[in-house]
Amino acid sequence: MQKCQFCEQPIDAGFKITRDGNDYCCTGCATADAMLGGSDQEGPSVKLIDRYSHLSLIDHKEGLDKINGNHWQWTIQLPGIHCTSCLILLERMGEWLPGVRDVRVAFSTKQAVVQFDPEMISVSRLAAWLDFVGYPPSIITQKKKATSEIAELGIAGFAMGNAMMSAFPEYFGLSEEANFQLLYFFRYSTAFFATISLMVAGKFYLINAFKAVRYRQWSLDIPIALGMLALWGWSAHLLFTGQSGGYFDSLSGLIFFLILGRFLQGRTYAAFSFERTVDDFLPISVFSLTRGEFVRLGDLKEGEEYQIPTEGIVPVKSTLMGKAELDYSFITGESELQQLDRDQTIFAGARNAGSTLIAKVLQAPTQSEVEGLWKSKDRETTGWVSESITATFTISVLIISFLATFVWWFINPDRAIEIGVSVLIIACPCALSLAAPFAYGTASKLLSDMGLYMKSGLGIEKLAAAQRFFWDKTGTLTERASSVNITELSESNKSVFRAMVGRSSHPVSRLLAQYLQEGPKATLSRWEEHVGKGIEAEFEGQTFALGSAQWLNTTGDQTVMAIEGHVVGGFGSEFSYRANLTELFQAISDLGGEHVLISGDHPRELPRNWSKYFEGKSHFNKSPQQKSSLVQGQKNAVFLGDGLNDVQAMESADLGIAVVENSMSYIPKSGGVLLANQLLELPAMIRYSRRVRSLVKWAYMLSLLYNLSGVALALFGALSPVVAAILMPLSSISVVLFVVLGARALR
Amino acid sequence: MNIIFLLLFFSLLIAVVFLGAFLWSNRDGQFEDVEGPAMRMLRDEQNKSTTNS
Repeated sequence: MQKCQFCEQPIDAGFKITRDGNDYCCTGCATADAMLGGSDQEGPSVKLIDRYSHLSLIDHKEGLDKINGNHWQWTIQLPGIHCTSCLILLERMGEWLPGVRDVRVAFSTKQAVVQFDPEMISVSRLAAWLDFVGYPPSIITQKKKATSEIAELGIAGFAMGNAMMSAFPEYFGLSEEANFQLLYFFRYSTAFFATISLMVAGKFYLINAFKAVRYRQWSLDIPIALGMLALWGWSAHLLFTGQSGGYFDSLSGLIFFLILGRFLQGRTYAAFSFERTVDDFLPISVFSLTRGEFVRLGDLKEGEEYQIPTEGIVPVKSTLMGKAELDYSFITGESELQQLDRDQTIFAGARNAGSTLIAKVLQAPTQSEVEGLWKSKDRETTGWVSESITATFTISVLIISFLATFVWWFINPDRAIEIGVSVLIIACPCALSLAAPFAYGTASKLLSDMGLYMKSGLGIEKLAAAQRFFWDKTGTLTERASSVNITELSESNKSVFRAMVGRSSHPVSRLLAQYLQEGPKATLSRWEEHVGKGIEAEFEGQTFALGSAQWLNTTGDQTVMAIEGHVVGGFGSEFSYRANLTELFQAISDLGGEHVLISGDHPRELPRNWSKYFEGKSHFNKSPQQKSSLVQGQKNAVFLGDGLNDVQAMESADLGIAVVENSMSYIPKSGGVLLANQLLELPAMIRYSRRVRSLVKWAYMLSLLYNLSGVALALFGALSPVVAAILMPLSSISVVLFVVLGARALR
Repeated sequence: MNIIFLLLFFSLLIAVVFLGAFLWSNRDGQFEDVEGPAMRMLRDEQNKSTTNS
């Protein structure tokens, strides 16, 4: 196993960084080695980009807290954090950046708290420095409330333990005759603990159920909340009428397991950060020319003129005050830049690909719009079980319990209410709602060990259902074996090419950008990308071209750099297919999968033995938009892609999986991330997720069986407190054990 | 018999103290990062080795 030059940990092949001939496991190590190794004790002489100037107006909403005059504290998300070196490097930031007093990194959540002196260093400079050393910061707009979840879990566990403890004496024969006082003391303390648990930890389900009813959506929270309330109400009735201690111990147990399941679900995934989307690039404030100072977006007025720097995102619908070049790929997926003239309208979300532009606000954003821009789309559905099943379940439970009450009213009116309520209690789908979170929670942990990081358990279900596999070609099925020949380039020419590739999101450009390294970028007078061919630009009257040899009428390297038609450098980025892909396709076909190839590049001949997989199902020259529409509406479609230009297709597909080589800083919106070196393991992962899916089905059956037998007992009035007290926790615990052990065993 | 109530009171008291300690440590942020401290331990080592060499 290859080891990192700096931290000596084994390098995760997917995340290897090579700098100056040494291999590192992450940017942190590479930078730390350069800075701590003595070669660069001063720290990087920071030629920082001004992409973060808009941060000069952030406040506590974006994680900035002013402790006192010259002591501020900023909490930020740094998705690039990967290993011990990152932590050490970041926490020693103050040694290179005067003004930084203290840095505290929370490794698990990839957050950092920076304390600094605003007189000595600005927020924007801090952000730019972090970006420079390899940790582009994400602004935290919604603080996670993990602490309160842990606290709830602790209280629920405490309540469950004590409630069960004080319920035991009665099970073991403590009766009114034996000790009246003690019995009632235990009964009331059980009730007390269960009530605390319901109020602190169970309220989540009650609130969600209330919301669901209000918005007329069927969610599993409704029957759960009904069951909880019925359980509590009936137990209280039994307690106060002195009939028995009720089911308070079961209630506290149920609540604990429910929130434990919810907690684990969120937990398995916390370490891998995902969304670094357009939201992260949206400015918090813009420089208003009208007022001559930075203005927060919410304070922008109609007709105000403001600046958008290079690479900046247009925050609001505006009118252009001059020529501009805009990239709408974030919103439309259209990768070609648009040349716009004065007085044309530009829309929020566009990226400024040219030099600083000036625009006039067309429509002042309302506060809600600004917040809406920031709010990430929350598309995660709450239910594991489909809404129709939930609806059927809830309605039938209500009908059965109503009928039971009605029928028993004629048989024995004294017991009618009791039996109706016990049906509600015993039908509480707690076991049902525990099955999927625990099974998929365990499974996503195991899958991440295999190299597939799923964003949610729901994705595993989709992976199991996958029938059609859409493969993006470049970067996903291919890997690079590259040789670069740029030694003859002068520094000034390098800066031109750097500027050329800097604007393109094509994989070759991004690769070349790495080889050209950081440095000044020339201001181009013209820049044009020819899809499938290359880039053409003009600088000081000379035409620079970068593109395929065929397009530039030469031979040799595949990608050629030319000035005025003369070849000055080459880039042999032989994108060769990854090894053993045929086996991969065959294995997936054996699983019933169908393949479709989608590429943004010009048609190239596929290896001959692939024809049976892709006969008539390969598409070339597709724009992101077209890729997306090919995937749109396809049932059980999985899109495997690698880059920004696949984001749309990934969102259109049932499940988008990003195949990543070493890009930790930007991972497009996707349902999962697969390490490229683990690509061949995909069939095994699919098989595993299918096994887990059937495991969950069995667990559903099991818990429905519990429910049905419980309901049957309740209907015949045979549900004694002891039976109920045993049956309810037993069903939850046995279902949890069944799925957790099962998911591990199936691996 | 009353001695049982006293014992129960104390056992509950102890349990509540532990719950309180847990909630306090949680609010203090001790569970926010369970991996970092183990790494931070290495940091002093690294400092020494770089200054010594």
